[in-house]
Amino acid sequence: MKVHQSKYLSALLDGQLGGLRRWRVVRHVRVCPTCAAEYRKQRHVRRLLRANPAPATMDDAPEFFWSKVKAEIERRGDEVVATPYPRLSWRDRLSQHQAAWATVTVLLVALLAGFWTWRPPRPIAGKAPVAAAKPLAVVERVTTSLPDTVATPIQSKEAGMTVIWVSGLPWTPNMTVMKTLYASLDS
Amino acid sequence: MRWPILAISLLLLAATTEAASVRVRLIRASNQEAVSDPRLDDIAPKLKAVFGYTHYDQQGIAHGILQQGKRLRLYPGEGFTLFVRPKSAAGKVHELEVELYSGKVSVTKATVKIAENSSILINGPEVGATLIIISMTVLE
Repeated sequence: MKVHQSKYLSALLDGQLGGLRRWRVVRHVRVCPTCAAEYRKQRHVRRLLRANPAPATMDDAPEFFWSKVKAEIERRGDEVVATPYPRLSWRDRLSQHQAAWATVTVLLVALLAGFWTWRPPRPIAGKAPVAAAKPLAVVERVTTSLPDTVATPIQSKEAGMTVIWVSGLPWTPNMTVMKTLYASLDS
Repeated sequence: MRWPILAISLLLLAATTEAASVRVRLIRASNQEAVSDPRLDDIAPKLKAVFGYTHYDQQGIAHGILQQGKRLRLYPGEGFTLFVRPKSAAGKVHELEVELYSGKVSVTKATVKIAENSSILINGPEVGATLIIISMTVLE
C-alpha cells in the first residue's frame, strides 16, 4: 500500500481483509502516521456507532431507499469529493520525521560520547607535553644478548623514525641458511 | 525505531574500545631488484635515506592491538617474532618494551617511546647482498 487509501482501512476495520493483503495494510498503518490517524479516527467512529445504534426508523421501504441512493450515486458520477485530511497529533508529527529525529539523536549521542571519552593528554614525567601529531620515536634502552654483537640506537634525520642498529650479526648466503644458523645460535 | 538504537550502541561501543595498534613489517633491502614494492610507498623514501639501499621489498606483515600490560606476539615472517608490551601511554605517545627474536634467539631488546604514526626500525642480519629490516609503526 504505497498511497493512503481509506477503503483499505475501512475493509481492515470491517474484518474484510485477510491473508497477505491484511498483513500489508496492518504493516502500512504501523509505519504511516497519516493512515494511523485515519485508522484511529475510523475505529473511533465505529465504536461510537456501535455504542449508539441508530433507531431503525425509516419511512421508505428498503428497496425504495436503495433505488434513491443508487440514483444519487449515478447523478454524482465521477464527482470528486474532498476528504478532510486527518488531524495529526504531536506523536504522529514526531513519527512522520523518524529519520531526521534519529539522525539528530545519533549526532547528539556521538557528541556526548566524544566529550565523555576525550581525555587531555597527560604529560610525561619531567618533560613537556607532546603534541598529538608530533612524530616521536625515542629508544630509551637497548640491549642484545647475542655474543659479539652490539645494539645501538641511531636517531634518524627523518622525523618520527629511529633505527636500532645491531652490528656483528652473522652473514648468511640465503634465507634457509639464516634460519638454520639462528636456530642453532645460543643467546 | 530499531536501527537508531543499533547505531547508537555501535557508536558507544566504538568510542569505548578505541585503541592504538601496532604494525610490524619484514622488509628486505637490496640494490639488485628492479622494482620497489608499492606496499612500502609510505616508508620507502625514508628507508632509502636511512639505509642507502635502492630497493625495498615487503616480505611479511603483522598487526596487533596495543593493550596496557598485555604482551603482543607478532610474526612478520621468515622466522622473526617481535614481542611488544605496552608499559604506559601518555596521549598519543606509547612506552613499549620491544624484543626481536629470530627463531628462538633474542636478537635485541629495547624500551622505546613512540608516538602514533612514528616508526622504529631494527636491522636484522645481512642475507646475501640484502639486508633484513624490521619496521614497527604505531598506528591510531
